[in-house]
Amino acid sequence: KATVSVLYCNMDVPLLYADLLRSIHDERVMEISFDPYSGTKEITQNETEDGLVVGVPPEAAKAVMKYIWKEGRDRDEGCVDIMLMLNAEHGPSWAKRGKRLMKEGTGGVSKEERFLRLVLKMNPKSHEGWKYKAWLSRFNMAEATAEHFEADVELSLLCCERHPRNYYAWVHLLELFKNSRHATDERRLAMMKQMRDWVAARPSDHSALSFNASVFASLTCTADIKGQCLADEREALATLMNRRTGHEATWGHLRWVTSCKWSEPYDASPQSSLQFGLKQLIASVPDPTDSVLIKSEKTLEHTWASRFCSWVFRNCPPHLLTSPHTDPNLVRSIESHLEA
Amino acid sequence: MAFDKDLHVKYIESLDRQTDTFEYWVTEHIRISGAYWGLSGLFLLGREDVMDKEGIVTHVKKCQHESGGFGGNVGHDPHMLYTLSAVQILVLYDSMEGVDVDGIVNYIKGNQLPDGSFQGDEWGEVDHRFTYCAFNCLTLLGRLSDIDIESTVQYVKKTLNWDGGFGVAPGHESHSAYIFCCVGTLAIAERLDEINADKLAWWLCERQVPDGGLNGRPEKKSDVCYSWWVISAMAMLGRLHWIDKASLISFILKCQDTQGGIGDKPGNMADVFHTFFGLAGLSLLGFENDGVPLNPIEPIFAMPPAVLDRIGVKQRTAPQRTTVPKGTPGCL
Repeated sequence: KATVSVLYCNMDVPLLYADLLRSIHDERVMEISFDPYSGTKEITQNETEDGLVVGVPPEAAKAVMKYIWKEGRDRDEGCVDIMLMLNAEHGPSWAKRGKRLMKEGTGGVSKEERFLRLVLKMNPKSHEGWKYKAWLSRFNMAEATAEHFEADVELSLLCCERHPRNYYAWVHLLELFKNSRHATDERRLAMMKQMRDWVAARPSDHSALSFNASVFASLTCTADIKGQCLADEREALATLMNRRTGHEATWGHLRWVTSCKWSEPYDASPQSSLQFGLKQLIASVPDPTDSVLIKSEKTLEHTWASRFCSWVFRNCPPHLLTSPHTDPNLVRSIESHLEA
Repeated sequence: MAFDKDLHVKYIESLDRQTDTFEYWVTEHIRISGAYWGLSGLFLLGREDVMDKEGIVTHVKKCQHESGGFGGNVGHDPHMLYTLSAVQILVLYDSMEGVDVDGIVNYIKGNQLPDGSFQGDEWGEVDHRFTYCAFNCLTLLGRLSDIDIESTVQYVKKTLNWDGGFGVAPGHESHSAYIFCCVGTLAIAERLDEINADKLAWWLCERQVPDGGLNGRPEKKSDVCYSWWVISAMAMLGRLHWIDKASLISFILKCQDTQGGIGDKPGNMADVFHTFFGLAGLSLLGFENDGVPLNPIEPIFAMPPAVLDRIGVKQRTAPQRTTVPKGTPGCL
């Protein structure tokens, strides 16, 4: 059960500033977020199961920024904290924090991690925020435990969920899985499975599919295990594409899966992928009785299916297209559909 | 909305007077890049005369740090991004006198890492934007040979993804802006033969979406800034004709703000970043306003060709292809 308490009822900006700073340093506060729907100029506090959530209306944010601008950004350390909550792209403020931390040593890291969580939850797309996160990870690399790793993964995924195809959050997640000593092959394989489930609910999340392709490339396990992983990826993708049509992301991932086959020692032919492509080309031809919505979905599916087939013809090694494992009638059928 | 050149000039000129706005404060750390975008936009419109040249040059020179690099504003730490913007402004204005050029070169050299990549500053972020900044900036200064070009070319090649594109660093999702940076770097180094231009251009022209605009990666919405990143890369690859120009021009024009300037999407407020890249896109597409084209822009360096000629920057030629392959997305 959530309770709301209004902290104050006017726009006394020095009070706004002080209360925002207090919220940032209050260990019970789990999240601070912009609250454009409050209809007021007050900072609010919600008590939830996970802790306190503080809401900041945009008017209050602007008033505090103006206050900082007029009063001087060097007046106290709190300025830096608030600047970054409200404008996470302010590189010089991150630099100040970094210099401060370097003087303190790794003892100050957990406080810094907490602050970063608050900033990134409020600004999940912030490039400067993620850049500082990466620097902090390098700074603390020797001390980072498996718990740190999992907390980092959890924060990255939260930001990926809040802002789909969040480039820098995915970059950070991939760097964790490529470089952390806690990212074993077992953990990578588990993460790839988790991503298949993730994409099943978010079929347009191209970044998640790209993540899986990159994690696959970083596996160091045996060829058999890699082969099974790729087979699982193909199967999950086929199930998804049969259920959810017209997504550029899934057709893009099918290109990757198809091209992975080209280097396999046995059965490298694009036969099965082209069969799927032709099936979808035929299925997506509009019918006069289709509703507007169905017609629109079919158009998208047809676009991606035809681009997929064209892409395979242009990029597949020629000897595979003409191999005994690739049915020439299939190729001709697709070509005539593309001509039409 | 019809193209209104005077309105866009007024918009850009007014930006430096709006010093009491939220937008002005939150961008104070990137002021120098904002100045480059605004000034370059005015060069495209043939109205660079409306800006206070002396004031801008003096301000920019004050941003040079003792390390040789430039910060985003006076008193800010140096960074590769702002070092490029500063040099571009000073070159545009032919005002390099008194600038510590050796200092700039040493600053850039100092940010090149053993694997050929570049970091942005002392904090160690590695990103292809800084690779491009280094190559562009040093070429403008006539000092490209001061760095290890070959190791950078090899590093860029390592970033090549299976789809023909480039991400922020090796293994990362292909992204139009990083593709621009990598293609620009290779074009400056005259090493475009290292990549499969057809495969990459195919990926790039798939960025064109039904509204005519371009996106940065699959499943994203169109954004005016990609009117630059994507088509300049395609121009460098000699395949600009693979894009449906008419619908892209129409999209950019729809992104104009009724108060002047260009926003990222139709109906959104203008900002100087999208104004410059929208104008640059229109110029590269050959858009004509009442029969008069915008001033030209060179796709590799994002500078007027006449300025590059003035400082003796050699023209690079794009790998040509005369026919459009069957099934190329821009033609569907």
